[in-house]
Amino acid sequence: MLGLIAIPAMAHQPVMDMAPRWQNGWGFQIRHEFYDADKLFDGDSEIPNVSSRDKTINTTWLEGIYTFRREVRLTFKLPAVNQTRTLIRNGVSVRESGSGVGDLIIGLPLKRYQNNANSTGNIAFTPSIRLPTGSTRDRFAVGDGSTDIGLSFSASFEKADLYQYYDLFYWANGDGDKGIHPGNEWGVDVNIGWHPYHDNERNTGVFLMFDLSARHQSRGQDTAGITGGDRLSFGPVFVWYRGGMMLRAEYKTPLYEKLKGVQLSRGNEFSIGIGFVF
Amino acid sequence: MKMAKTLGFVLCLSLSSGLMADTGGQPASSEYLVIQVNGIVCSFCAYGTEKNLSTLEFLDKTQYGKDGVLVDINEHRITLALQPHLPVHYAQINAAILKGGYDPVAYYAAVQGVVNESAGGYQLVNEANGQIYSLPVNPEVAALSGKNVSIRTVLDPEQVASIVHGQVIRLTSIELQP
Repeated sequence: MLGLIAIPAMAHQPVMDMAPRWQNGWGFQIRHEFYDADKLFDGDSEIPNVSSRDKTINTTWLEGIYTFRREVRLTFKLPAVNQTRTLIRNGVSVRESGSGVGDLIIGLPLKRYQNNANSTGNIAFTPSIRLPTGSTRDRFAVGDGSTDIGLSFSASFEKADLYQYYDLFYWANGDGDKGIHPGNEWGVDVNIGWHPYHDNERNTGVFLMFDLSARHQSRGQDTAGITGGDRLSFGPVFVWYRGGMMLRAEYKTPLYEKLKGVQLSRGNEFSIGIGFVF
Repeated sequence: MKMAKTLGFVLCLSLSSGLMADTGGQPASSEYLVIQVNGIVCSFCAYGTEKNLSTLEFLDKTQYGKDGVLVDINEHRITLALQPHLPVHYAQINAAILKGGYDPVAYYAAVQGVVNESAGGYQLVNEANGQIYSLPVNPEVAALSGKNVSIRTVLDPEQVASIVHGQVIRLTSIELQP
């Protein structure tokens, strides 16, 4: 996964963050993420897309977690990608595509919990590694061939009706194949959530959240040209759960983008998922 | 008889701590155990705790969604429906909650049985499940000897964790139910 799509702009995830917090618990979720973009930017200004450049990316994530005890967890995230783009090469419009399993991300969330009379919270430190499991063969390759290192600091606080989550992360991206050199990336996520409905007897309920995501990626290079830039996006998240199952939908739209050179906007994103914990 | 009636109205027996048992506003009966738990504000997060608890054999699994466990995230309590004829394994409950990622604060229990004198002290024997509780030694308890009574009590998690299943459970804080 390249450029500003290296780290999906993910809001709070019940399966991977809130649960399982119990010893020897495990869970997985399957999440489909879609975005397409045909707005061309030069810096922070939209310019006419006279050559009809576009990009469509469908990513299905298989994500899993194992909790040794509530303070120590192991996670993985494996994307399956199907993507196409139209770009100009040597003055000619070309259509490129790529598909397959992308780069595997393994994380080790280390948490410290504080349980109070009417709230719970935790701070977490998560080292991660992204392995070059994705192929770089396709013209619009699903992998970049590099091994990348990530670090995240997060904090969450929760009451029966209110949820807050803050995450600061950094990815040091290595040099990949075919001259690919994605810039390093840092980002901030802020989630504020409301728990408007819950049924104790049926163990079912709903979360409504808003996610604000900020991303900065240093100038880099991929097979389509320059990468990197700044982006601020915002959107709602809906979660329904019952027992150990949850459904999740997220929509996100950019509030601000300033890209390095001329690039396509990230555009609007939509994500749906289903997850289970055991 | 007069003394027992008096105790029934006054409710509070002499306690080693000098405090009346706090039932947390729950209608404690011997068929339920109510546990105040710090941090339990999300039932999806508490799914594992509920699952751990639901494996305990002494729960009445005809209640609360057929697992005998009710997690109340608004009151931050877990209520367990108990099978009256099976002894309660308190330490297992405590371990299940801790392994679930939460911190139990207090156990509100109601026990029913006959008060007997034993080795200079008094015990309450639950005739339904055979569980034995030792009671504080004082004249009010002595007046209950031989009677079938229902009492409420509060256990702290450290005490619960140290209870050895099958052995006498020492109660230091009790309240007679009328």
